[in-house]
Amino acid sequence: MNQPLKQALREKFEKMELDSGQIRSLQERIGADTPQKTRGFAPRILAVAAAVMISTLSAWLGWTWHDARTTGALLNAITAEVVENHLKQKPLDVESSSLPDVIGYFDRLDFQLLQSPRIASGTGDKLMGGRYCSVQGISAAQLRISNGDGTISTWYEAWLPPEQMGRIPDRLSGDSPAIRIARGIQVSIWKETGILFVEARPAVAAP
Amino acid sequence: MLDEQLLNRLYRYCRALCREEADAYDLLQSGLERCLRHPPASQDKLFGYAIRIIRNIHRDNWRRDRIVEFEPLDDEQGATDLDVNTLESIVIDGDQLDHVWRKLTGLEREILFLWAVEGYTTGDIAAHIGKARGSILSTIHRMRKRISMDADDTAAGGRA
Repeated sequence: MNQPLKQALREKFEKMELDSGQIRSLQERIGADTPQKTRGFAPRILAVAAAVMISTLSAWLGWTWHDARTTGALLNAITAEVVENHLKQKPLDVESSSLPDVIGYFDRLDFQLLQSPRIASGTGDKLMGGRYCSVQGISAAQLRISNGDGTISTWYEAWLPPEQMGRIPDRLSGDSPAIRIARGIQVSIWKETGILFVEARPAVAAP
Repeated sequence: MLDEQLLNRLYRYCRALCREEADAYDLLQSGLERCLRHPPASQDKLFGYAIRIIRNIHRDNWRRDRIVEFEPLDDEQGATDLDVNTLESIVIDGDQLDHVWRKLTGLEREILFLWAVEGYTTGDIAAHIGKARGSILSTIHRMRKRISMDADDTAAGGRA
């Protein structure tokens, strides 16, 4: 039967079909490769970008978590050490209410002992003297003060290696001291002019 | 990704390129494998992308097997007033078409398939094949003459 060429061609090709076995075989082959290889360029780029972002975020979170954990561990270690020193109240090496005299005694430190404005605050606190101690295994000075409210506080000045000192709040940069309370003692930790300062005094219970 | 309908469309394209059924199936498999290794950016363009890949593989196979189908030199001047629609006027029956089909070159079969089955325009075909539109029109012009003559001969033989 004569018919237009186009129609005849369509009918000719309509008859050309894959059998069910061939289709199944091809689809199985495609299916086996699809999960790894059928994504387009753009989705692959997005997947790579997402992976990079997740990796970066994970690394940043990991570093932040590690950093916070390390800083927290350092502050807790200083607190435990200082509280121990504070509670033992070992005999003073030098007894004097003169801050220059006490400061002058500490001539075996690797740093210059400083007079923190907070020590001589004029609130009735009285300097009792000082003794050598250690903070984080490094020689430090402990000053003992009789407070106007009848309690005793101890002050510590020390120098720490830069990687540790870098984790201490810097008052000159506007940071607030880190506050820790352990065994009934409130410990304030900060640094000024490159020197670690720690104050330990009895914690005040909430009214 | 590739449903039965799309697989059959691609298979028919392979059948247009290859004279043998088995070769067409092999070509389809090779084309699909390469598509999966280098998937298109958009699934919407999958058919066009796949037949380009299949065409390239087929051309490479030609070169590898040293199969050469001679194409006449283009006669663009004589084809300027032609279009694929000029093929519309040909009337043919199934047997005549089978007879003619065996004599057509790969390029001619491809053009006929894209025009009749996939609805490509001359410009679409030229873009797909990578030849100038005038070159495609020349091929159509020669093919039209040949199909008409061959159909006439077949019909005359049938009547004799």
